[in-house]
Amino acid sequence: MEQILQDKRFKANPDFLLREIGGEAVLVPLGDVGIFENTMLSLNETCAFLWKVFQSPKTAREAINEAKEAYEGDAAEIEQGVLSFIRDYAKYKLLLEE
Amino acid sequence: MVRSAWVKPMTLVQKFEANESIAACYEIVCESDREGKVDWGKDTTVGKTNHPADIDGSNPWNIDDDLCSGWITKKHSGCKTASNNNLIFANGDVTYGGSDGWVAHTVDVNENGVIDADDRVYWCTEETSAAYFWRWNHWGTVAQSANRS
Repeated sequence: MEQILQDKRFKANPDFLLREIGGEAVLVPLGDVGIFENTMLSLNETCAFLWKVFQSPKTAREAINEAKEAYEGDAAEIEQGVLSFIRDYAKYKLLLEE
Repeated sequence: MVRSAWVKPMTLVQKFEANESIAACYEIVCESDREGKVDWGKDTTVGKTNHPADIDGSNPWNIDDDLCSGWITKKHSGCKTASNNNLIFANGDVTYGGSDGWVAHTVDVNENGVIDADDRVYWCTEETSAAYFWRWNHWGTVAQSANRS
């Protein structure tokens, strides 16, 4: 795992709320959300799970461990999936560094 | 506890954009009462001109001028139909769009800073041929169109 991800704690941006709409997990932007103005983000199950994991500050390793506990699958795939989630969400400030 | 199968986390971003434009539609008909009369014409080949206006400028469009027989017979017509007149608005002002019915020139604003219903507009339409040139003078009052989009 990238050293940089090992050391940092991330937390879900409070300007986005997770809601269930029509059986679908959706992130609804609030306030000044830049490029996400007038958007809606639909999350699949694992994405919604990770969003909930990061409601409290977590490191990448902690999130990976929680994902492995909750889901059945190849350990390397789970790790890569969580890391990609963190990278992408941090890039667009959906996840914030603590 | 039965665990679900892991799938790659995916996020679908859906952006909403306004797809309706709300604009007031205006129309205008000519009120000059020049229907069937000649406003102004010029025979470019022999230098003759025909102008209905009084020399002192009074009642420029109320003169019934029938000096034009033969070579200048194009009369004021069609402008009482709103669809023949085209208004162009930009930033609250009427802009010139050319001849053939496009509205331009001086506008009597109703003191609200924009060109809208009840404002008066003056415009000219023109036609040119090899030998002749005609101009018709119009004025009218901006009205709200019945069909708003």
